This record gives sequence, C-alpha cells and structure tokens, in this order.
Amino acid sequence: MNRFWLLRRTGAQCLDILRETGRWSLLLAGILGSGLSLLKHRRLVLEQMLKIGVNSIPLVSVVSIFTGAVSAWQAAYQFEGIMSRNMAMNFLGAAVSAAIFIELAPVLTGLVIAGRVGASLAAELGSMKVTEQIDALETLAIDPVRYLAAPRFTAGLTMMPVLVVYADLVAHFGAFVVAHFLLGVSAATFFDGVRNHFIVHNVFSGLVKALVFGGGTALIGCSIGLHTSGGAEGVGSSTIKAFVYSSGFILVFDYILAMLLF
Amino acid sequence: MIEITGLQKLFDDRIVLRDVNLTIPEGRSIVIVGRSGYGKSVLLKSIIGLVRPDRGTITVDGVTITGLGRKQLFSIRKKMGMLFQSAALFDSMSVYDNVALPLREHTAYGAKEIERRVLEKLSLVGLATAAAQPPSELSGGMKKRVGLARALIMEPKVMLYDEPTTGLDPITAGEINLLIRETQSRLRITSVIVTHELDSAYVTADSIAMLHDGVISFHGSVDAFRGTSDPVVTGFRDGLRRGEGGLS
Repeated sequence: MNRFWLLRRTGAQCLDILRETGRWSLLLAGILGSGLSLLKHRRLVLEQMLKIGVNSIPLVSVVSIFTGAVSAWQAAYQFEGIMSRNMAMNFLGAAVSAAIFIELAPVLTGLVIAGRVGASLAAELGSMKVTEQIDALETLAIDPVRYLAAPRFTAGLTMMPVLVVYADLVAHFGAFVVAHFLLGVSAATFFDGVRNHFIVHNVFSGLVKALVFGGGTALIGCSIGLHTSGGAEGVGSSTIKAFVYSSGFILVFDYILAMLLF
Repeated sequence: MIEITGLQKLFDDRIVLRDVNLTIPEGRSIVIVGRSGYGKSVLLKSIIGLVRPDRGTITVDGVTITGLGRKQLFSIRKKMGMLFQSAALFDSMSVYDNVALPLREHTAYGAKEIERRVLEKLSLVGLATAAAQPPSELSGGMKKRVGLARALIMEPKVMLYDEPTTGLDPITAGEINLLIRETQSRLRITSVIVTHELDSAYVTADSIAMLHDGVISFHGSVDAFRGTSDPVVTGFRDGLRRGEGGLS
C-alpha cells in the first residue's frame, strides 16, 4: 500500500468538502435569486411542507418523547449525586426544560430530518438527474433551481421551526411522565420548575438553530441530488453523502450558533 | 437554421468533438449517424445548450447560443424541443401533467385552453386516452410518444431527437419514425435526429451526416449516403449489414 495513502485520502476528502461547500453556496445564491417565482410555485412549496413537515411528525414524536423521558431520568440521577433528593426534584423541570429548548429538541429533530428528509431529497433529485429528468426540465426552459430546489429549501426552512416547537412540547411531556410516574415528582413541582426558570432567549435560540438546520439540510440534499452521476449506484452514494454532510453540518453549526447566541 | 462552426468538446483529456462544422437549413430534417460513444448525443446536447463546448459556435435561428447567459439560453430553448433516448418523463406526474407543464410555466393560458392544447398534442401522437396514466404504466414506445407530445407543446421551430427508436421493437420503431416524419413535414420544423439505426435514418432524413473521430466526415442526401464509396461511411454501413447478417 502507498505510504501516502492516508494523506491523499484526507486531501481528497478536504477537496470534496470544499467543492460541496462551493456548490451549496451557488445553489443558495440561485435560490435567493429566484425571488417571486416561489409565489408562482406556491403549490409545490405546500406539497414539500407536507412531505418535510407533516409526514415527519410520527418520527419526531417518537424521538422527542423518549428524548424527554431519558433526559429527565438522567438529570435525576446526576442531581442526586450532588444534592439532596428533594432539592434535585425541585430543579428537575427547570434543568430538563432548558436542555430541551436549547439543545435536545433542535439538534435531535435536525438529525432526524437529516436522515429522513436530507437523504430522501438527494435520492429523489439524484434519481431525476440520472434519468435525464433534470435535463428535460432544462430543455423545457424550466430552471431546476427555481422549480425543484427553491420550494424544497423554503419548506425545510419553514417547517423545521414548527417541528422543533412540536418536539419541545412532546419532549416536555415525555420528561413529565418519567418525573411524575417513575420519580414521584408532582405536576406542580415539575411545571413550577419549568415556569420559574423559563427564559425566552432559550426558545428563541432553539428556533434560530431550527431555521439554520432545516434550511441547511434541504440545501445540502438538493445540491447533492442535483449533482448526482453514475446511475443507481450514484443515487445510493448521494443518499449516504447527503445524510453524512447534513449531520456534520448540524453538529458544526450547533457549536457555531452556541458560540454566537450564548 | 442551425449553424455549427469549429465545435470542440473535451471530457477530461478525451476529445469527443474535434472540429464539427455543419449547417442545417430551416424546415429540413438531418440525421446524424455514427458509432455509439462517438459524441452524437454530446453534439445534440450542445445544440440545446445542455453541454457547453470548449471551442466553436452554434447559431440557432440567428442567435449564437454558445456563451449565452442562462436567461437568454432559456428564451432560445422555448423555440426548441428535445426527445430524450429514455423519454425522460417526470415520473411524479401523470401523462397530462407532463405535457401541460411547459404551458403552465411559460404561458398565461387558462385551464381550458391548456386542456385543449394538451389533448390536441396527445391526439397527434395517438395517446389522448392515456392522459390520466402515470408514466410507469406506459410501454417504451408510448413513453417516447408522450415525450414527443411534451416537446411539441410549445410549438418549437427546432426539434432534437436523441436515439428516438433505440430499444423499441421494429413495429413501434417504424411508427415513431413515421411520426417524426409527419411532424416535420406537417409543422415545418427543423429536425436533428441522432441515431445509429440506418433504417430509421433512411425514413426520417432529408440529409444524413456521419460523425466520426470528432468531425463530420460525410454530409449528403439519403441517396448520396447510400451510394457513397467514402470508406468511413461504407465501413459503418457494411458493419451494420454484417452485424444483421450475423444475428440472422
């Protein structure tokens, strides 16, 4: 094996990331430049909102309820190690709520959407690319960026905050169920904790993250799909690539946004 | 009229089109023949701006399309139609919606007028009854017909056909050939047909051009193509005959 194999592979990966970033930027510029065409294509936007938003609700529900449940259980375990049980249970609602609003709901919903939507957008558009449907749009003088990418990006951007608000509510419910029925915390104690330590900025920061994650995931899925080549194998590779890059994007931007917002 | 001058296209280091020069008069039908993988489809896609040549110019209806911006290119494409080898129908839409899409995107016609025009074009290709079907339920020949109806819906001045009969049975291929010929003579459309099937070429062509080694090595009438002793043309013609003989 070539002794520079690792170096070459790393270099190739870095170049790929740079190339992809350039493509995402160009696609974003194209989408932002499409302006009023969204009004003309509002039916397509609504269809995508249904696919990306409404159809994701069952999966987001399952992920959120267990996220809330496990975070309540873990928080109780950690608090009991450093303070009395009574004091720990008083803070449980507040601690779990802040974690859900700031981090758990936006990031986990983002990762769910990356797997469900980012990958499916790449597969759908990739399949259209390899079967010449994108070329057919071009020959009919229909811009694929305006007709395909802009509605999907808009739907991702707008539905992700809605899903995160929904995930916030469901995760709180999951946390309350565990706190009340398994840890013996009364409803009043749990929700007093949530209310007394409620900070609007926490919710706002979660929604900012949702906007960035939703728009980014749709953008990455569309860009990778539109640049697919190589038949069925190429579509498969694009699907995996879209999930990997979307997940990476969410984790990196979660850190960047945390630095900017707090 | 389409005028191609000094066209060159490379993919990586491989020269696909070396120096293509070709003039296609208005309202005429030209068939470009050549071996598979010799750049016929690349030439066709260059004419509609899907492939950007590295050198040379293509002029369509008096407008040089090489080097045009997207907006101007889209405006030229509204005068052109293309039938893809795979038909490239949008599989998420019905046959009707496939054909109606360009009208919805580019005109202000109401639903009634769109319906009238779509059904007129579907009748032209003999598929008015299949309007509600999804493309997945159509045969290969039916898909090509729908693709043709979709390409014709904006009443283009230029039609490009990429291997229109490849993969079809002889009867369906013959029907498609007649449809292409009828469309061209009835609507006076300038047609460029890429194929490696000589039977199809002889039916649909006013003239035949041979693309070989990145250049147009022969261009003449159907009779001239049949009678020429040009070694490249005879090699292609006789090669096909040998192949047919070998199979029978």
